[in-house]
Amino acid sequence: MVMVQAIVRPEKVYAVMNALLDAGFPALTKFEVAGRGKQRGIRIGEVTYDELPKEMLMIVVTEEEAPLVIDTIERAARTNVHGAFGDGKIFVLPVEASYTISTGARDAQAVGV
Amino acid sequence: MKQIVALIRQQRFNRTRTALADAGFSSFTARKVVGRGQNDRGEGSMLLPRRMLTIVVKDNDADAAIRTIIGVNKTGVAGDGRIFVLPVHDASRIRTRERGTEALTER
Repeated sequence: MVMVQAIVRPEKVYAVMNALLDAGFPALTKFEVAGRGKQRGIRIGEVTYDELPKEMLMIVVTEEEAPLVIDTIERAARTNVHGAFGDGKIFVLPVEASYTISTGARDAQAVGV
Repeated sequence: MKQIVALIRQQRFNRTRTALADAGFSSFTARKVVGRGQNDRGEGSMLLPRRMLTIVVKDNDADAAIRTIIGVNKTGVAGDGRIFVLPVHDASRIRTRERGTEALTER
């Protein structure tokens, strides 16, 4: 299993979530973050913003599903067809085990089971 | 080292914190998140508030921490939450610059 962490524009987050739902991935966790990328924030006139607000989505899926999830997020989160700085980033982390609390059981699909 | 990411019901947070402390896991990070689960399909699925706990423990402490969290949070109903276990490469206690498992709070 892998955890897909996607940092996207706040105005795009619901488009991404609906796209994931349509692609068959309803389960996710969302929270607000602030950060900067290689643009070092943004400068508008005299004012420099060191960190910009983004939304972070966490989705845990199997390794086989990950490419589809990543593709779905990329398509929905990009600004027009070319994309723009600030569209965000996606990270993929290994997940060694996963538990469903309501059953107390370790999920069978995790790596190394 | 393992990072345990637990998504739990908000109203169970205090009990979880106490149980973890009693089991020797006093250190963790908590934040408010929203999310939906495997069963929340269909248009306009509601995003439900949850608490996300992040705990970094030694490899052989992971199971005890997971059992503690499940013990407090299991009601048997869908929506109890989920726990993920991720590998951690390194850690540093900034105050002392200790590295690796030395940086973790002794259980």
